[in-house]
Amino acid sequence: MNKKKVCGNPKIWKDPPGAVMYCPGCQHPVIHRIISEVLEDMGIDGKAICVLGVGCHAFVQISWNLDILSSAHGRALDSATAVKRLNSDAIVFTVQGDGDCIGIGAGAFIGAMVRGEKITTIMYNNTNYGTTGGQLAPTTLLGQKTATTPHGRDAALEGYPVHTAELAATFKGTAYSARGSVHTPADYQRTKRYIKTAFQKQIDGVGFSFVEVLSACPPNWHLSPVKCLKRIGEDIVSEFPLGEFKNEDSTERLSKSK
Amino acid sequence: MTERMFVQGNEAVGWGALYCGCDGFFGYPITPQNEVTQWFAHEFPKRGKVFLQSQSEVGSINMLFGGAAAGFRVMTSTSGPGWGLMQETISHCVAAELPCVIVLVQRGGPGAGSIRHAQMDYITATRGGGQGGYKNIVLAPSSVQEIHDLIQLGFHLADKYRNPLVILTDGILGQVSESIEVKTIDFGPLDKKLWALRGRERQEDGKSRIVNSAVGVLPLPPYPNYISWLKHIEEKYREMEGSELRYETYEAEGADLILVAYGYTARVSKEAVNMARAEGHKVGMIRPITLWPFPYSVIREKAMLGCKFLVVEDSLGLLIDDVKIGVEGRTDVHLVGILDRHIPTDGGMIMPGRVFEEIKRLL
Amino acid sequence: MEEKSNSRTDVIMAGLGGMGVLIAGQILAWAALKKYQHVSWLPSYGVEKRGGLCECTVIFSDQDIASPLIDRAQTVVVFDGSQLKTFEPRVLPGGMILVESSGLEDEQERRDYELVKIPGVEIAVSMGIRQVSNLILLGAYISIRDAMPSELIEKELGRRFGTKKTILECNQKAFRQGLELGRNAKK
Repeated sequence: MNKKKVCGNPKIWKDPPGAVMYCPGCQHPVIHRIISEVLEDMGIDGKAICVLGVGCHAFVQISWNLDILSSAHGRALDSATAVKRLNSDAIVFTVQGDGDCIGIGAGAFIGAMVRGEKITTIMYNNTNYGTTGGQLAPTTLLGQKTATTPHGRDAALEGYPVHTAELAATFKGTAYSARGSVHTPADYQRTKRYIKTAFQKQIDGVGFSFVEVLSACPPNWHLSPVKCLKRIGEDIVSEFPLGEFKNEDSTERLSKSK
Repeated sequence: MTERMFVQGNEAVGWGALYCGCDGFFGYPITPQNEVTQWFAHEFPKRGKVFLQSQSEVGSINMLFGGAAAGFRVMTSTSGPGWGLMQETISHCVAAELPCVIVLVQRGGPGAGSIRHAQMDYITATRGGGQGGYKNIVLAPSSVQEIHDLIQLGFHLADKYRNPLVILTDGILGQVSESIEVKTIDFGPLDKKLWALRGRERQEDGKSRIVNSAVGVLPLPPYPNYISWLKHIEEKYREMEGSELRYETYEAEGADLILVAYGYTARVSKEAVNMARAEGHKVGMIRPITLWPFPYSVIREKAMLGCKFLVVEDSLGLLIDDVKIGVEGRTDVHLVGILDRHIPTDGGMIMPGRVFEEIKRLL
Repeated sequence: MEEKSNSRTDVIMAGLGGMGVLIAGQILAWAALKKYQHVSWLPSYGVEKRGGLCECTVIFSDQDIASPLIDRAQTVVVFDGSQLKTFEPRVLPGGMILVESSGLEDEQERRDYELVKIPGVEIAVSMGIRQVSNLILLGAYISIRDAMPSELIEKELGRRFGTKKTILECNQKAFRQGLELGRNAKK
């Protein structure tokens, strides 16, 4: 009888898989899984070097059978820049949270895009600082209650949520920018396609590639996992629309200046 | 191959780095070290090496974190305010055991202070200026030749101990030109960097690596917990103290007064010793070459003989604390400092004549 | 310390920014490399921002140079006549100050050194190139103080300006004029 394996853990997941580090209903491991599948499908996991930020996403280091650098908070793209510049045929990518990438790490993020580093960044957006107990993040929605905005985010005091994928698309050094989600199976597949495209841009040397992925945080949102999915599909997607914001094929813009 | 050159101290940083196989330089403009960064911008890319101007000193030091983790010899250079910004990740480099070299061309502080020479970062350089109370070797050259030589030793020791290392110079040493011999110095073999990140399939054993500065949060083999890892770090510090102490004595035998100085003020002090000796005064000098580890033992030895001490440093008094620790209260320790410059401006310098005056006053 | 051995020469060159003081010192230092094991050149400028005082100390020696910074030198070359007073304290007793005579108003206050006035600017202007007064003073210094064989400076000028023929010729001409002035001043 012909048996085909249709489920199981990705090959690059160590045993036990990383999900054990995460809260019930957290979608970070789902995104980890997409990245794992993409690296395996593309056959690039062996030459990948992953640079992690600081936050819940970084727990993946005990699960992934990849070369991994766990960087200082917000500095993943600085460190990844040097790894890639010194080792140009490695596949270099960062995994960062929203606070790590566009909060404390905004300078490094913008610096990498200004230079058009041939690096891929996957930013997990759960609209708060999950690891430290659910505080205000740059991505927190207006009105959202967090540990440091007990009455909800007030635009007059804390400003408006930042649209990272749209921002990334404005940089000439950025080759690709998209925002995905994993709250439905269809979105899972679309996000996988985005991440695959992002790595392909790096391989083709087109420039910086960026994918923001929305992720549920049940304990800090004070919602059940199922209600979290509903919140993403309604409130969050209406603030952070899904889709591709930039898809550049030509490397011409990166050639020597006039 | 040896090449004779006439170069500025700041340029000698580059020649030293080039001749010991530095792979990448990451820097940000700041006075008075700009010639260092500019040297690398001119000389590295054409040799197939990496030069990158970062978006900030925070960027530079985190690029070192990445480059070192990937197994490359990487360095940066900065001055006061940039040095302050780098502290966090120097601490991360210690924790992740990542070797790299940081050149600190000291200028006046505190704050933006002055853009010209001074010696005011001694404490943060020697005491672990960032979080967590770490240690790193600090090498203090006092000539252009020695800058070239100690950069090479610096890379060797950084790799040997898997620890960041600081080369402490100053705006005077950075600007002065001297004739030097440029060559590769052999310090002996080093272990292969089997721990470095290359991508799993390029590792000799085919196994993936993790480099992490939070061993207390996510323990990494071979350290089962935070304290066992701290013990390992502590053993490394003790080994550095035991094996890497370097200093030079000058006319110190039988001296009644010992000058202690590093960097440009050590040159000034040497001239002052010559002036004093020419008039028959029994004056000598101890010049620490490693500021950490510090040569407390040789200071103590002299203090036990009853020698007085005169510290010459272009600050309000920082190195003097280490001399006092060495002296253990046995004898007097005096200071010729930044307030003794020949003119009261940011361009003023501590001159040999002023030091000689103080020598005569103390004897 | 006051009287140094013949194997060591030190000189402080001083003036205002833009006069070619630092370059004159550089040329001297590079030329000295051919003959001396130890050479140092230490610049200092912008000490007082207004007026742009600048100076460099050049030392060449067969022996180790203890300090590239020195309080006083065997010779001080003052490229701007108005700055004699500022730099008079910087010469050793028994030493010499060569001063640009244009703009010179200060009287010599100390009597323990020899003062030589050089009309560098005047000659440079008569040559039609105001900017080369620094090479004239350098030439005068070399011949009066017998600081080193003048061919070493000529070679250095060739190394430095070799590809720029006009500039090389101007500088050579000025330097030779300076040598001549110095020889006459010595008589």
